[in-house]
Amino acid sequence: MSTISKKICLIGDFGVGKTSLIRRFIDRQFSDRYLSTVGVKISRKIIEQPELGRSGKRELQLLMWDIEGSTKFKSIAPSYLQGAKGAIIVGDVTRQETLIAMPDHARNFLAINPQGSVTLALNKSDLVEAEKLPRLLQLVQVPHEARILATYTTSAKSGQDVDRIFQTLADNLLEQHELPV
Amino acid sequence: MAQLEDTSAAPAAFSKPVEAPIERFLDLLADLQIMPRPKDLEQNTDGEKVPPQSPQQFEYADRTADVAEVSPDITQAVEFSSPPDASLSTVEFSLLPDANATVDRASDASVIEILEFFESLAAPQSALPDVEKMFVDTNCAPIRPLNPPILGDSEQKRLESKPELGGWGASAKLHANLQTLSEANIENLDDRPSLDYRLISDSVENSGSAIVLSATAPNSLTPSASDDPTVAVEHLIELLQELLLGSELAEVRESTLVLERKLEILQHQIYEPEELLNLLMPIIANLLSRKVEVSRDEICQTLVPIIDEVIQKSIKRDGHAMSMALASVIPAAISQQIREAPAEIAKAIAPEMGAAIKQQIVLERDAMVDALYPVIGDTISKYLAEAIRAINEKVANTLSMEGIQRKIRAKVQGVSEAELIFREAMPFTIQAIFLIHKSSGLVIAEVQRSDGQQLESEMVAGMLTAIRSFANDCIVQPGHTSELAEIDYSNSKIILEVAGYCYLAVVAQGELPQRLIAKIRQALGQIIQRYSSPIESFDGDPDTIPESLHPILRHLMEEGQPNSPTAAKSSYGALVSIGLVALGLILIPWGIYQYRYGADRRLETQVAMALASAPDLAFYPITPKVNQKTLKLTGQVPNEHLRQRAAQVATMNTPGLTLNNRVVAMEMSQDQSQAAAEVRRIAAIMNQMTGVAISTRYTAGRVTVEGTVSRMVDATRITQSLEQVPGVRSVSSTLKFQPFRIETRFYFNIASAEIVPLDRGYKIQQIKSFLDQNPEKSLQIIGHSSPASSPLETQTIALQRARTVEATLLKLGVDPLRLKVSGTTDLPTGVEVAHPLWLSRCVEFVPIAIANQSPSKMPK
Ligand SMILES: Nc1nc2c(ncn2[C@@H]2O[C@H](COP(=O)(O)OP(=O)(O)OP(=O)(O)O)[C@@H](O)[C@H]2O)c(=O)[nH]1
Ligand SMILES: [Mg+2]
Repeated sequence: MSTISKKICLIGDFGVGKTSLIRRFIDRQFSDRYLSTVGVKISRKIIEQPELGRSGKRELQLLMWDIEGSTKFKSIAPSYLQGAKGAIIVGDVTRQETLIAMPDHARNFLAINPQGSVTLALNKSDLVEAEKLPRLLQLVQVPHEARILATYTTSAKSGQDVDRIFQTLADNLLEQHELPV
Repeated sequence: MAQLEDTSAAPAAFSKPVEAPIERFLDLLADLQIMPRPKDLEQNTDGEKVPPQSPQQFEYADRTADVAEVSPDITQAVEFSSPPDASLSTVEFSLLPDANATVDRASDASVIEILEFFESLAAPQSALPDVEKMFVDTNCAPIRPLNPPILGDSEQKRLESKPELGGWGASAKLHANLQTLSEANIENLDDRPSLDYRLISDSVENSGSAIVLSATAPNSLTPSASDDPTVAVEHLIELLQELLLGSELAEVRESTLVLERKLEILQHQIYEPEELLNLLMPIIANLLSRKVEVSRDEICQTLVPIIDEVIQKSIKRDGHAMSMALASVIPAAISQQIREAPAEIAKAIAPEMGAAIKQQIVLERDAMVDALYPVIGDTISKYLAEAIRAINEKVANTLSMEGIQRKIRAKVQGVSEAELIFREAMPFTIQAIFLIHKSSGLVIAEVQRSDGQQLESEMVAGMLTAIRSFANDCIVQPGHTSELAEIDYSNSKIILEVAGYCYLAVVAQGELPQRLIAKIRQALGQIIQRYSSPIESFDGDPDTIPESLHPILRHLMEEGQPNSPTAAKSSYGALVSIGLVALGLILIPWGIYQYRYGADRRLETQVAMALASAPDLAFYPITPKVNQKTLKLTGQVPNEHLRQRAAQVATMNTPGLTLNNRVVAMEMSQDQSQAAAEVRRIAAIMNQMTGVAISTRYTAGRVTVEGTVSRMVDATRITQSLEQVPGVRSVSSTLKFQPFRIETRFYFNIASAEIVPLDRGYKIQQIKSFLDQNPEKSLQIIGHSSPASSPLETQTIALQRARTVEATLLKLGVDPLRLKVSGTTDLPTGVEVAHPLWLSRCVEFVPIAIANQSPSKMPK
């Protein structure tokens, strides 16, 4: 048994909760304090995949590149995205402009990694009423994009759908890996 | 530009005669979009349309719209009043506020309104005579259509170039209403457009206020005009007449003046802060006290913005009391803040930390050292102790095997031995090697030291990759390809060796020797050569990388380990024998060389002696040179016979050597006098050199040289040059070596040029005898003064000092031509700034050769 490593990126505008999602996923913790990420922060987590894999490879090591959020003045450095197999594009449901930016982030990522897989996270779902969410979901529709696996409303605070979004991506990465080249 | 094109198009329109002035007027109104153009009037008699406003005008209006919100009005007004042809323009457009006028005062709306009122009175007044004339002329003068108004170039520029217009604000309204419109229109009827549109800035200058462009007009005009044009014109005329004949004009003017004065006083009170304060003071205090009673909250809110000032003031007034009041809360406040926002506190005090620590060290050095010692003292002393011990060892065995080895290495590598010692004292260790996928930052292969702390390879690799990307994106300039090669942190470093799809990161401690860096490159080269395709397609699965790649890294790792003590001991014997062999290899050839060299030299001396003792050859410079098995003779002799003779003498003394006779036989039948002249010439040249004073004698191929030189090399050079003169067979020299310096110096008192009595006898005599002994020398007498010891120490005094010495020498009968004087405030030779000042108050002597050497001066 050996461990396969994959690089994934968390992309989105500043302050949407990328770092918080990773923290929730790895440490099961959340903090209200906002410490903006500078450059890149890399975290890793090993995901057991007992049911998957023909060749007995059952461990996936996710290397998560938490990339500093884009601002009006600074976009995301493309070289940080290179070599990633997957991405979680994050938006903040309380800031509409961050949701509108999500399809762009997805396109940028896929331009650099055409074989990559993408999931979308509408984060901070704990801050809006549940009935508003469907409308917000519409904002981030990326038409006919086969590489977009799923869209979730997540909350780093409550933990809603956090594991699920990472798991969906991880499953897909392993699937892709197992595919005969 | 566009404006100019317009002008060229306009005249055609001007010249069109138009019958009905009223129609024209209506057209005008329509053009200005103030009222709809009646359909039947849309075309004039020629069937030609009145040129509509050109796009350029709109453009212009747009532009000015940025300048101020009132600008569209200005534009309109300008259009109306512009004469048809820019060249006819006498219209003055002092639209702009006086340069000195403070524009912001215009924001006082009431002031402006009053002014506007004045304006409205004044403007028509000045325009009246012309208006009258125009009416008279209306019947006979050809009526001109309103053309697209053209701004005179200068006006336009002024309008555009004065963004201060914005300062007029909303209050400075420019009413381009019907009145202006009508005036302008009327004016257009006239050949001499002379409507004075100067804005009356003089009258309001004192109040420093702005100017309003136009007069206010009765509102009634607009609707009636649009209803019935004829009525409008009649109305207009009525109005004008009313204004013209108005008897109250004088009264109005008077009241204007009164108002103005009052206004001034008011303004003064408002704008002079002192005056205003005086007015308000009593009320405010009252107000405040009442307000506090009524609503504390509100007062709080109003005070918040100035509370800091209040605190500052009260600190100034009674700092002590303030400190007392605050003292008790400060510690609690700080700890609270540290708990809540440690970063902020850190940020606030960080800049001062350095200074504070320094201060503390000054105050209580020992306490500070004690406080820090546990943290850094230990580390440093341990580190230093280790380093020093290592260096001691290295120095101790300088003469050992290792020492010799190092000497050789130092030579070979071109670095100092000390550096090598230092490098050896600071051993390097490779801690880990990673082969990293360049784009994803995933680890392809790795080795780490088993004993050390294990690095999280994936994290290290990821971060390194990110740093590389960052450096390439942000630091490397576009178009340049450079690579991050090394990351240094304290004693450790990471060396990055980058290839196409991967790079090697070597984490090492200490100074990595060049040899190892070469090894790293070599290893990477090997890896790429063999495994480039699995590396390129690496996708995080280590199994896709062939097992055979790993030994390359492991091997590199081993190369990078320091020789552990045990390893060194076991290999000591080997080292010694290797060293001995190396030494032998070096020493044996060297010994042989030394031996041979010695033998050769011996043979050479032998031959030279033989040649010198052969009477016929003794005068000729023949040099024997022995190299292994050949004897080479070089030199000059006067004839072939002597050349053969030299060969004979040489071979006799060195049997077994091959002779290479390079002696040249030169006919020396030159004129003797020619040779003598050449010898003199050379002597003269030589005498130009400092310290050289020689004389020569030539007789029948022999030269005798006498005199002194200050440098030994000069003596050799002189002899050599003379020997080379054709016709000179031998040179005998009795040259004396005399270093040419006169140490004697005269020292002076401050600001004095008098030789101290003690120096008058012995010292002067020394100089005199030097001149006597060296008749071919002159003396440069250099006076020095020392401005540092007194302002009186000038260059003049320096020169005077030299002169005094000169005079004393002259009295002793020295040829004045042999003495030169100069004075300087520079330091004397050998004296430095740090030396006592009296050393600089002196006269020094520099012997110089007499430039023009005449035979009379040559000693016989
Ligand atoms: N209520 C709520 N707050 C959240 C959630 N996720 C993040 N936050 C808060 O949003 C702020 C920003 O979160 P980060 O995770 O630092 O955002 P980021 O995207 O990493 O920001 P950058 O690194 O600057 O790009 C923090 O104050 C978090 O506490 C969430 O799901 N719900
Ligand atoms: Mg972050």
